Amino acid sequence: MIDVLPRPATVTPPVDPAPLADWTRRIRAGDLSAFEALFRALHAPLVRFARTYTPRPEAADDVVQEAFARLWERRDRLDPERSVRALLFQAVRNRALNASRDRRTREDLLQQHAEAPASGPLLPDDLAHGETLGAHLRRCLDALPDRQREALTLTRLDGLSHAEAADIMGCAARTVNNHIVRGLHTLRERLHAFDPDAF
Amino acid sequence: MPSDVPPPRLPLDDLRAALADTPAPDREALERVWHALGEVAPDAPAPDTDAAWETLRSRLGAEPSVRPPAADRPAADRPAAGQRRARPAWPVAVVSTLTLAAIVATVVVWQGRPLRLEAAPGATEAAVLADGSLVRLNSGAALVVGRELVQDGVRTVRLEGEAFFDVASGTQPFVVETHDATVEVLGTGFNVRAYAGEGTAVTLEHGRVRVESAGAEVVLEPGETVRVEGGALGAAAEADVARATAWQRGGLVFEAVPLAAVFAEVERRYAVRLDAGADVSLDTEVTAFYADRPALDALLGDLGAAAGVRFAPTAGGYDVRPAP
Repeated sequence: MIDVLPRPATVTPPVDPAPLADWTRRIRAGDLSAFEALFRALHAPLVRFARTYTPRPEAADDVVQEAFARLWERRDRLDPERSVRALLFQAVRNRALNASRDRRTREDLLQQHAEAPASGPLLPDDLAHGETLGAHLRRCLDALPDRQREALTLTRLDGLSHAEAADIMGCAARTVNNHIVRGLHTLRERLHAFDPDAF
Repeated sequence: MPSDVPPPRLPLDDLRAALADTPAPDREALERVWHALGEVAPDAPAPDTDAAWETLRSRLGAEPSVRPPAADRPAADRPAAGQRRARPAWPVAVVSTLTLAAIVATVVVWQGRPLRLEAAPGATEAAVLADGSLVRLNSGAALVVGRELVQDGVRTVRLEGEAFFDVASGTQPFVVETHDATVEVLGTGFNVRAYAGEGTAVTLEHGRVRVESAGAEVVLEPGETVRVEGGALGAAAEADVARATAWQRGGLVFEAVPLAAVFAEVERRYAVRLDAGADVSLDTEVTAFYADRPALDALLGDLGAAAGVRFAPTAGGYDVRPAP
């Protein structure tokens, strides 16, 4: 077993890479219990991720089910050298983008990604009294341009490496870094308005 | 196997690398924001993982729950590649007459002699091969067919650039060779992109194909893509087929593509020269999608805005300069 490394208290621990590689090998060999372990570890993050592309919760659920079903059907082709986590996130992202094409045109979606429109800055007046830091962060994160939110969610909340995020988002790791740094700058401004002493 | 266990890497390591160029006071502030993000409230409602697992499990119901572990068996024992090869390899391909009629103006019919068909910059071409297979060439691509299409029992063509193949069914395999890969057709409709300096990307629309490069191979199923980069064959991944084949309708797709590659594509597709000054940053990444062929003015206007450059007309094309 891998020793659990000490982490700062606020860091969401990512799924350890070691069990993922082990699960991948066992899944490839047809071990359903390893598949269940993978499913239980990644289902919730994947559904949350899918929801950012599609407004319909049931569509997000379907997309994730399909991705897992396909992974299992084609387990003999799993590559243990490649992150199964990145594979699943990428499959969910592609399926969710394809699924939402019926509702919005693809151009709109990509344009949104390219131009990254921000919904206007939160003004101090917008800040409901008594809103917790967590709820405030959620609103600020949701208001980020798509690519920035995507990069931060994958790396900070789901614990993927920047290289995995780049693989999933179909861009260079350097681009992921840029999205993250820009997103953090924006969040910092909004957090400063929320709590000038802490940020 | 120790190689399967990557060294544990903290997410913070990646963040610090990303912030390496940020001045110290900002860097510390951004790290605090990053830590604070761990407190973010989850979106509601929480996904019901138990119920989802039961649904999925019943869907996979017929599967044996555990098979003997195969992790340590030699690769040759694994069922993957061999099993697939043994399946019947010829789902029937039908080139619809509608499709043919639409492109009849540019169709070249192969007439039993060596053929090198090139699509000039700004143009696309289509060819019907001796076996009835249809090939559509994107701008700046070339297709080479020998005196006989069938060589040693294999229908063989060579491709430089990008083409879409709709392969007629037949008893002989159909093979597309590129500079760094071999695509063997097991079914029918697929896109190959292999411009010089780009590696090869194969996207399958329908049927099945096998892609080989440097001794490795991948069998694609519909809706999948695989890339050869730096001589190495990647893994099959889900693809957006409509986008991979949008060029046939004049469409253009750039997703996080460096400006240098964008310019090369625009030069091929519009037969113009774009001369970028030394002060233009050619690794700026651009994302844009056009389902149909945009007018060149409109395209350059969009690219200019996205990449912070402007285009000044010259005799043969445009000079590219940073926007003032």
